[in-house]
Amino acid sequence: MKKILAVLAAAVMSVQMVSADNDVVTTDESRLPVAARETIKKNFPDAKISYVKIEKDFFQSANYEATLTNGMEIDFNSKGDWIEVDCKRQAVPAAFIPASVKEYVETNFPTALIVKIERDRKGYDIEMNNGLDAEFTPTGAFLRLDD
Amino acid sequence: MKLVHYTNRSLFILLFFLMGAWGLLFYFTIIDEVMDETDDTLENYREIVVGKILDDPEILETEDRILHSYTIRPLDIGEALDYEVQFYDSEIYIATEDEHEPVRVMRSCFLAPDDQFYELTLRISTVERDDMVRAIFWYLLVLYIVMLLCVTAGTRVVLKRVFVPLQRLLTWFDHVVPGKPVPPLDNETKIAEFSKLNKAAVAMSFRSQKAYEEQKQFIENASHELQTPLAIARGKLELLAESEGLSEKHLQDIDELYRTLGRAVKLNKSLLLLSRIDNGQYPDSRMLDLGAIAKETLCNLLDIYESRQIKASVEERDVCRAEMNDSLAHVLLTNLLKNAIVHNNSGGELRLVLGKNEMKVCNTGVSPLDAGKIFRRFYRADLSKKESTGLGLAIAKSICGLYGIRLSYMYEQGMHCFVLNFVNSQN
Repeated sequence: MKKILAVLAAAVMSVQMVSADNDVVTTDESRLPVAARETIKKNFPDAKISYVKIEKDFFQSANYEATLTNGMEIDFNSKGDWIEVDCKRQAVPAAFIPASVKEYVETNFPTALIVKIERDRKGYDIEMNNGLDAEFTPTGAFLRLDD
Repeated sequence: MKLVHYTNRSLFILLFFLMGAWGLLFYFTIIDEVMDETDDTLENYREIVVGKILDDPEILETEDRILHSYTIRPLDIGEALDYEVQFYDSEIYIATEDEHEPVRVMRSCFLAPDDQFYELTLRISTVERDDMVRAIFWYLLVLYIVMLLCVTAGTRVVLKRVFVPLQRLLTWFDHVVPGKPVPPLDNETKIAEFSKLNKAAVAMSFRSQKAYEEQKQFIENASHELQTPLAIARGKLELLAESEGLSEKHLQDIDELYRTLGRAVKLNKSLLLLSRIDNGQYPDSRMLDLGAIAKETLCNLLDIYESRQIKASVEERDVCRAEMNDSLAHVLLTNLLKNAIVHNNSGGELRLVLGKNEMKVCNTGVSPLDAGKIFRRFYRADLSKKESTGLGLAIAKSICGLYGIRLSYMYEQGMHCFVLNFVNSQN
């Protein structure tokens, strides 16, 4: 009987532990990976970090969301590579945008600004200030357009 | 403990803990998820509020005075440096309703465009959440109890139904008595195991019944057939002893032979008596005053064994009566009393106690006997006593068995005691 209770207690504890680690919100920018800090410094030289949100998942690999005082938000993976840049209503710095994507936008939507860019294993996903979304492959080839 | 109760109890205990464990785990997981949901909501609010502030720093000067859902406070640089986000439960006072309301609070810090750190305190009411948690708890508890009761009652009904054939078989077993015809077994069942058990039980009963009959018949026949040759041999020996020209030595040998034959005759008679008792050949019975018979028999026996100088005493508490066959009663009491005299120490004590439904015969003895063996046929505790056949107590036991009298042995205060209990013999 003791065994059963022990196993039960352990199960309850583990469930609580898994779900209990809430996200960390901090103003301490040194908790960002070095690569992430450098990316921010290089692309947003005037901006300051308002706060950083660190999301930990089950396998303890972290996701970083840095919000700048001008409202822009840059997400990084645990290695410090950027995975999303959201500049709200302003243009995403050109360094984040692959050449072919930039070319596609300039050709097809000459007046539009890219305000948000995401990247993952499936490719790139951009959002323009005209409300349109465009998807590209990892190599930068155009896939589709959503609104 | 009955099989049904035992199984049911085992299942109940198993389910009690298994379902209890499952329920607890489920409850804590759900509660955790619900709590987490509140914190997630707070984080979302925070992102929205901070986003708005970064967009429009004028909001910094405002405060939510209606729902008290947020307050903003400037922080010193020292405070801000190692600031950790906090979640905690608290209460706020709502003036319009004049009551305290439970809230979940999140405190976090951010850098505003004016290069000043601020602390944002967000509050969210947890009245609904607490209500929900309470509801979940009670629903789970009621579900647990009802489910446990249903499953227990259900298994009980099922088990009872399943074991009906077994119950019938067990009742039937009570009616199977050695020496009487095997009663018919009416126990239709679809369950293969019980069906097999039924067949095996009936077959076994018939087999043992047959073996019992044959054995009884054999003993009876053998004893009967032995009677004549034994009588002839004894007669011839008597004649031989009277013939002339025999030396003293020869006469001694003949005497020895005669005694040995006498023992054989006694044995044979006892065996015949045993098989007759077992065959129920003493049908007529009437109410007898066993106390009177016992006293009379004791007197006679003391006369015969005067040389042993037994000190006998009779304690008569009540009249001891029982319904049984006259001659069997005599045999029973003679056997017990003779046993108490013959297996007594020389000059030992004999006590006869007569109660309403009980008779006790005690005699002096050195050490306790093996209660499991003394009623067996041909068992003799003391092999040196040649005149003992080892059948006396076996016969007594058989007679008791015939009338449902309980015959038991115990050793108390240096005496062997044989107790006859007539309580069950009346019905």
